[in-house]
Amino acid sequence: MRRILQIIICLGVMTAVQSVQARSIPPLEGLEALRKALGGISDFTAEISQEKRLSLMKRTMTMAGTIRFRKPDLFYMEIGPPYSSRMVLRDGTVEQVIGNSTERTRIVLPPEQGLKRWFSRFSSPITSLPEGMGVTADLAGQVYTVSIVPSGRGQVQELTIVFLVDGTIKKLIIAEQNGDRSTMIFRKVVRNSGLRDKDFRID
Amino acid sequence: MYHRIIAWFHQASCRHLEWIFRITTTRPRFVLSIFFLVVALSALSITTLRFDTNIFNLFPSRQPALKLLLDSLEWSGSSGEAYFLLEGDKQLLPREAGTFAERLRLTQIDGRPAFKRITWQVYDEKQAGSFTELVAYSVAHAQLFILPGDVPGLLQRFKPADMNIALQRLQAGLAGQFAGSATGLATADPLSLRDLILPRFKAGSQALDLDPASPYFISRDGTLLIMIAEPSRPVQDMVFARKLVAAINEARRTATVSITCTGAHISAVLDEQAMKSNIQISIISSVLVVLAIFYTAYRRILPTLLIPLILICGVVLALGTAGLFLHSIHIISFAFTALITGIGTDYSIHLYDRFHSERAAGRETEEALRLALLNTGHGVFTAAVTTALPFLALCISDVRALSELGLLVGLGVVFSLYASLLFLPPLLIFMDRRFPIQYRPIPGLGLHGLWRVARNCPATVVAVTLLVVCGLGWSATHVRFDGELKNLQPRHSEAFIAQERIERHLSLAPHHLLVALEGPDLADVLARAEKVGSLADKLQQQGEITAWSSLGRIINSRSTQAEVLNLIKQGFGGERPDAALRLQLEQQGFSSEGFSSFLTAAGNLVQAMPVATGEAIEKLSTSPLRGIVDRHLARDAAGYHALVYLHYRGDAFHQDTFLRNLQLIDPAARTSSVDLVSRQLSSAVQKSFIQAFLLGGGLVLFLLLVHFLNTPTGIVYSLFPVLAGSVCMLGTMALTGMRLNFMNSMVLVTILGMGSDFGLYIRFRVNAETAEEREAQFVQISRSVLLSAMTTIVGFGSLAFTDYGAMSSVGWATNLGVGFTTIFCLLTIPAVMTLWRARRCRA
Repeated sequence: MRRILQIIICLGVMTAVQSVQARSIPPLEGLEALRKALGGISDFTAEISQEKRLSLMKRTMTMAGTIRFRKPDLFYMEIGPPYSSRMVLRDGTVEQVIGNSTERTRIVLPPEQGLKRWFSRFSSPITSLPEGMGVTADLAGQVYTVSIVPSGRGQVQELTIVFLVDGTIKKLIIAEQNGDRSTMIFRKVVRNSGLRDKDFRID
Repeated sequence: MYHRIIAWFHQASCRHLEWIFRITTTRPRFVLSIFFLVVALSALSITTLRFDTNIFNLFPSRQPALKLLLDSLEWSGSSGEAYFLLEGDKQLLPREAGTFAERLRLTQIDGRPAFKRITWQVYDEKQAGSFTELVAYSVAHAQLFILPGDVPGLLQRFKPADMNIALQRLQAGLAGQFAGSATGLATADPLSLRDLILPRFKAGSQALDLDPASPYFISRDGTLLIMIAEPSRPVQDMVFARKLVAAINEARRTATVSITCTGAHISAVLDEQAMKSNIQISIISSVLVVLAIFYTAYRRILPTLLIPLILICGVVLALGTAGLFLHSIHIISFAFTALITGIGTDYSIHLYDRFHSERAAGRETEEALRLALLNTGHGVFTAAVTTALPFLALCISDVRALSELGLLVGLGVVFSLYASLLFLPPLLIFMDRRFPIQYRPIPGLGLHGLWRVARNCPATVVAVTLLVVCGLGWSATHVRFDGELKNLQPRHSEAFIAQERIERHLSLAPHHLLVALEGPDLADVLARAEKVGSLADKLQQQGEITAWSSLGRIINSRSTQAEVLNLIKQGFGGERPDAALRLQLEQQGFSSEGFSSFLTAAGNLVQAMPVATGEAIEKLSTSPLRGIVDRHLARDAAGYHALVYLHYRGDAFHQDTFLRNLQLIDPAARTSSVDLVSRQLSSAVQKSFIQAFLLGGGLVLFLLLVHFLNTPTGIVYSLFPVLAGSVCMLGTMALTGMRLNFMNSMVLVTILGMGSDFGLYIRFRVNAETAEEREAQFVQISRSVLLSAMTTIVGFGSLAFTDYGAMSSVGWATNLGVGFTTIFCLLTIPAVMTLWRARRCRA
């Protein structure tokens, strides 16, 4: 009886493992899934926990915070102590305030890196891979994992996004050329809550 | 001798007219064939001409201030840049600017990118690498860029407590960064020493008054964003410039904010378009009105249709002849065509009016033609030459706008006269043979009444005239001179309006004065610039100037570097700052190896030596802040040119005192400012005016002496109306707020030639013994004068309504001058003649 029970448990575990085992899917399918997932979202908020391994730091930095996003070009991130900072990305302009400081650091991104530009690429069905990008994708049950490897000598080596079929983003991993790596895990994702401009202020 | 010369000229002009009468009536086909051959050759000569649109080329570039201004535009590259102004919702501007910049970047002309460079952001992420390199260099060589007064601030940053705070902030920055965007700067400058340096860089690179809190080139009120682009081909390539403007129009077609543009390329194309359109409208409208006047007065189709032919020949011959002397003609000079329309028609009017009047009086064709050509023709000939010579006298002017216009109008007048003299006789003979009509007296146009008023109350007319002249003469003493060059440009052109907006919203101060220190040795040039800087510093402290900038304000001289280093050494008191920083880094969990460059640089601070300024300039030149060097230092075959900019507002800045002091500390320094350019141009124009007035006036006087050989009082009759007219013109200008400028001041010369004609005609023609005959003569010649004045006013009037301030001012001034001269001719001269005759009778 005990042996039978062991077999049943083993079979059950094997079936379960088989059911969530990742399978590679064509890159275009992965991107299209991402496009469709994002298509149903006009905004979202989430709590995040982030882990950063930086070559400049001896230890891994862990932090928690919140993020907000509203289509087409607004992104906000707030990180709590001990690394308090607030950052807003309005299309191609990044503004950051560190700690309780009133000083803002502003950086203007090149037009091709603006949020709007990125999302405009997802406005119509993706029929070919973006030029100069390597893409891999896999599907494990309801979870897609899409990895994008930009060509050239940019700072980012690989960007991996993990999301559910319904568009809920679960994880974002950024690997840099110098070995630095950031992993951001999303929790309590709330979609289409009608975020307003005041939700994207860093004052 | 004097009388013999005058008599010889008198006879020569009479014989010349007789010869013209003979050949045009006996061999018209041969004459016309030769004439048209010359016209065809002129057309060929025109093809060698280039048309210039640059407003600065209208003025003498050898004037020191203007020369330096043009040199500095060339050195800085500003002369070839395009400026785009985006106006609208503050939130939308950056996004729209990004989209528009991207469109411009993708724009291609003939398969090549239209622009070499497009800038609209203070910091561009694309240049992050080279910016980080500059930061690393500047903090490693702090003695080059930190002022002695900022050394305590630098020392403070190496105190443990401050280092602790800085490194905590650094950690937060690294934690919140996206994809390593902050890593480069963090390792180059972990203690943010750049905060002591970058404001200096920013102040030095700033040629515009921008919002310091914005990462974009945006005005302080946030309503205007400026984008600066460098077209890939020079402005001289007009084909490229036209395609560029078309491409710009396409790129901004769908923009949701207002985008206007200016710059040499745009200005050249838009000004060319505006000028062409202005001139076309002027020419067409003036020709149509002139033809309407002629036809309404004489009701003859063929002579009316002859006028455009005469004008075309006059214009083609003038341009063709000018092509023999000039390589290029400024597009503004094309306005002469409208002037020729006004002036060139006069001769046909006088000749035809006399012919018609004589035919109506019962004379045969040949006799009427002889009287028209030899009698009235003599007056016409003298009048044309007296009109042409003052215009031609303008050729001696240094101001190209005037010399070119003078040459073209002068030649055009002469050629229009000859076209009239050569075309009209054959045509009139042909008409009388093929289309004979019953000649009827031409309407008097109310001139009979005018004659009677002048005859019945001559004293009153003369008294009123003198009263008006005295009144407006007093007012004329208040006429002011407008030295602003920009007021001569097209006032409604997009380029002009955009330029105005830049000045209003983005200029650091309403005015700036530029000082250039030049020489083959860089160190010497910079040392001289530093002395000028000291002078500027005092002026700023005294509140005379609002700001000043030079390379010396950004890069320290060797002596200042030594002072900074001395203070740093004293401040650290023999301790090495890198050791404490390394400890702090380790304590806060940083890997100190990543900061090795900064640690080495910090260690070296206490034993550093002054650095050669050339090295710092080289470093800045290869950084995103190369604009600082481009703006303040130029190098060409002649050597180095260090530039110091002094920004000032209004009269607070005593320029003359500054220039005297500058002369004392650096006699070789060159200076330029809008005020200085204006002052020097005013002086050049004044000189040209005096020369042209003496030359033109002298020639007019000589011709009048020749013409009135037997009746010298005719000179008074010729000159009084025009002198009185000029005084009244100036008086009216003062009353209506119009100002004299570089262009319309020369009307005072040209009006002398044009206006003296009217009195000349009347005095020459009205010479009969009986009152009835004199009245008939007066009505005939006054009608011609009135119609001529109307056509002249139409020609110049068409200019008055153009958008070009330069041309418009000439149009208004001339119309006022011609208008008053005509009134005095038609009313005052007959009154004076009556008084004179009465006095002679009494005597």
